[in-house]
Order: sequence, then C-alpha cells, then structure tokens
Amino acid sequence: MTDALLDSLADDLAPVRPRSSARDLGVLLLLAGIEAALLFALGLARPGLGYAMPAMLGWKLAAPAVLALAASATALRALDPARQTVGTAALGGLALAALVVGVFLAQGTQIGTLDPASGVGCALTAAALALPPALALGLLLRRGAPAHPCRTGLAAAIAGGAWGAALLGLHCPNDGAMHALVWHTLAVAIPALAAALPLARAARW
Amino acid sequence: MHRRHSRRVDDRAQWGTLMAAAQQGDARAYRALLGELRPWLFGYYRRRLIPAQVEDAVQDALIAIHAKRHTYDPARPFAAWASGIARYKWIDKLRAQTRAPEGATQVEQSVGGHESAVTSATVLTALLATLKPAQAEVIRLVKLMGFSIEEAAARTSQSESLVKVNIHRGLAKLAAAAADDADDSDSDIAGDRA
Repeated sequence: MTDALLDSLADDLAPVRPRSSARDLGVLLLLAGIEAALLFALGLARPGLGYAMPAMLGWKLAAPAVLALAASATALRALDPARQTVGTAALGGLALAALVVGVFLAQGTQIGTLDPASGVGCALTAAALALPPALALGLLLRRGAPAHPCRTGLAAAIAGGAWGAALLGLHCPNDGAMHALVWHTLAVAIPALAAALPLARAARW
Repeated sequence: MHRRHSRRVDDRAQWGTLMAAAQQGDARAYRALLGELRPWLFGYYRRRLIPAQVEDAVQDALIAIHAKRHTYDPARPFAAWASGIARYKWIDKLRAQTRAPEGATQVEQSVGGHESAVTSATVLTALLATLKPAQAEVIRLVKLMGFSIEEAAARTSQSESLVKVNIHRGLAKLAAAAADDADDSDSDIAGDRA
C-alpha cells in the first residue's frame, strides 16, 4: 500500500468533538422532557398526577422510565468500539423484574377490564410518543461504532419503546391493573420490536 | 531486545496522545499516528486473514478509524479502542467471505497458498486450549496480537507481574506439550520404519 491513503486521510482531517455517552443521554432526556412539556401544554396530560398516586399509576410512570434510562445508557455505552459487551440480558432481566413488581402492586388494587378499544389507543399513542426518542437514538447509533450492532440496536429499541410508554403514563387516565399490565407492557414491547431491526441496521458501520 | 520492546511500549503510549491531538485538528499528529497504526494493523490481520485480504482489511480499518475518530475518548486506553475497530472490521471481512458466492471465495483463497498458516493456527489453537484460560489469554494478547504487558494487564484485569508469570508458565507448558508431540511423532515414524 502506498502512503496515498494515509496522506489523503490526514488531508481530510477536521476537528471533531469526542462523543460522550452522558451528553447523548442528556439529549434523550431533553427530548423526553420536551415531549412531556408538550403533553401538559396541549392539555393532553391526565389528571391526578399529584402526591397521592394510585399504585398502578406510579408503576405506569416509574417502571418504563427506569427501563428507558437503563436501556438508553446501555445502548449509548455500547457505541464505544472498545466495549465488547452490551448488557441486553441484564435489560431483559430488568424488564421482567418491572413486570413482576407490576403484578405485585396489582394485588389489592382495582383490577378493571382489558378494554381493548382504549388499550389499542394507548398502544398507538405510545408508538407515536416513542418515535422522536427512537429517531434520536437512530441518529446517535449512526454516529457510534458499536462492537455488536444487533444487540446495541435491540437495547436502543427497548429504550425507544420504554420512553414512549413512560410518556404514555402521563397521558393515559386508566389505572386499572389489567389495563396497565397488558397494554402498557405491550406499549413498550410493540414499538421495541418494530424498531429493533431498523435500529440494528442504523448501528452497522 | 528489551530496549526495543520498551521503545514499542513508549510509542504505543503516545498513540492516545496523538489521537487526542488529531481530534483537535492536528494533521501532523494524525499522519504520524496512521503511519504507526499501519504496521500494527498489518500484523493484526496477517494472523487472522488470508494474505490476499490483508491489504484490503488494513485499508478498511484505517478508513473506519478515520470515520469514527470522534468515538475515541482521550481518557480511555487507545489500544482497546483501536483493536475494537480492527476486530469489528475483521469480523466484517469474515461475514463478507461467508456471504460471497462459493466460486468467488475459492478463487480468492487460491491466490495466497496459506495452508501452512491455517495448519499453524489450528495447532496453536489446540495447544492454547490445553492451558489455563488466564495463561492462554495473555499469551494470545502479548505474543500473538502484539499488545504490551501493560495493555494485556488492563484488558484482562490481571496485575502486570501476574501477566508475566502467566506468560512464562504458559509458554513453558506449550514448549513441553510441543516436545511431547515431537517425541510421539518420532516414535510413530520409528514404528513405521520398523
């Protein structure tokens, strides 16, 4: 190989700002904050977001928010090529633990009905709310260099779905245990499954 | 020998500094870094790919390092970052090879004549499998992949002195195993002759 390639790469050099997972996570948090503010500004936030929250409302807000933070941090950390592990199994464990907590909290609360009509509405709303964070994650993944694009894409997809479900918790007025456990779990799972392949592709480099 | 090894360690310690300067737009530092990375990448791929693919893989890796230079965090070791990129591009090459039509792969592979390299790699893998994982890992890193003792210690979470001890003991075991194999071969040949 001649030195031509090295010379052309050096000639092409422009200053770059080293990427930082913390800064990227800050961008995602800002985006989620803007979405939440819009929900309030447009009068789409549900009533009763006060101190005395029903157990299932607390779960609907906290469980996906924790999962979203963990999955986002996992995906963003994996964008460093030096990291040879992603942590998707730990994310699966966290999601399962959140579901178990939900089932535990459902004991002694109003069970309610499955109500497919409002459930499908919730799933669609969550998908719409998941779109901006998922797109932002896609852009961040394109800039990264993950050692495992598929697993990183999956973690990012879980993050997108969980962000959507966490924001949905601010909107959905149905606190029935059945509704929360089924439809809000699907609100994470469906967008995550839909986004997994495109995000895995976005992570390839 | 020792002096040359120390100098190599010093040079590599500079790589992170050079990349940090390159991230700020220092083209001379960047050119110097690429010049040092090139032989390292050649060595890396020569041990993993058929000769006909080495040049291509080195170029791919250099371009990837250029395109993804913003993913390097100057606070972290450069060697781990660079070998992460080299490893990804190596796996990419292997994937491309499995996806390629059979005929094309055969033509490409027939160029190099790499039977001895493949045989050596197979034998080496089998020999390393007889060692303790900690010994095999540091021998692979230091003796085969060209990492320094310090880098191997950082990557394996072993202390530097433990890395040295593990290399020493591992190599002694390998030498003994190889000697046993040679004795067995000699006696087989003698048996055949008899």
